[in-house]
Amino acid sequence: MRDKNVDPRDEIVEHIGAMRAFAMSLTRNSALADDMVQDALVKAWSKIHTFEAGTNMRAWLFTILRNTYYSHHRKARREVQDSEGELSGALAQKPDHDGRLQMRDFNTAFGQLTDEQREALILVGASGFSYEEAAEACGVAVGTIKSRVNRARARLAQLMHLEEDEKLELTDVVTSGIVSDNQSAA
Amino acid sequence: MTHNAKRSRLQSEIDDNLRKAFDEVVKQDVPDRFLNLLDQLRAQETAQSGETQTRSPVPQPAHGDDDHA
Repeated sequence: MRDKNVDPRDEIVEHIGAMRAFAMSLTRNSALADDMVQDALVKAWSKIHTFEAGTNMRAWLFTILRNTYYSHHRKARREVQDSEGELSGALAQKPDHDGRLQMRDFNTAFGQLTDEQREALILVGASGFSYEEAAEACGVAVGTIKSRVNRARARLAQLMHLEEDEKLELTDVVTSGIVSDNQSAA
Repeated sequence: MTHNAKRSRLQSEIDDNLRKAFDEVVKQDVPDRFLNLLDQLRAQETAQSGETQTRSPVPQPAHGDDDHA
């Protein structure tokens, strides 16, 4: 039941959680991610007239978010990443579970993907976007998204020296590190 | 297990772990700074529509604006 008095901006708040998760997977730093979400919210608010009612608001917001990242935040992320070596060292002290994949491995590998690969993998693999929606959010062809996702997965496996019959088993603590591995470094 | 089956299992495990990590952040409470920001944006607009606007239309982000450097 939509009427003309419904302000699509009222819906924005429902997507903030997903925006933060997407921003964290791009920046891998929670402080930077939240700054980026803030910028994107301000932009979304002012250009709400470009949102077509009835279309996917999350995809629209993600487009703004990623544009914010590529135009403002990518540089800051690189600067923050200088502390990563130190952090990886600390994580390496984590106990090994039977030679299984460690947090450090997945985390480090995920961080080594290109921004485009990470973004494609998160959109399609984690946030439940279709290839078409992801392609639209990123402003590229569907085939491009597919190949980025495939390359991202292959590269992850390769970086982790993961044998194909090895079980990928991560604890909850471990998974939470994937999208934001250096909160304390901010 | 065939090579392809192993590969697709590996891929779905990668996705499962990413999804878990992603959902963990999605489920967190929205920080007050964003709720306040939305309130502020709405309040500003109401103020603007009623009177002559003298303030900057949007709040500036907290981080350094160094992209013109």
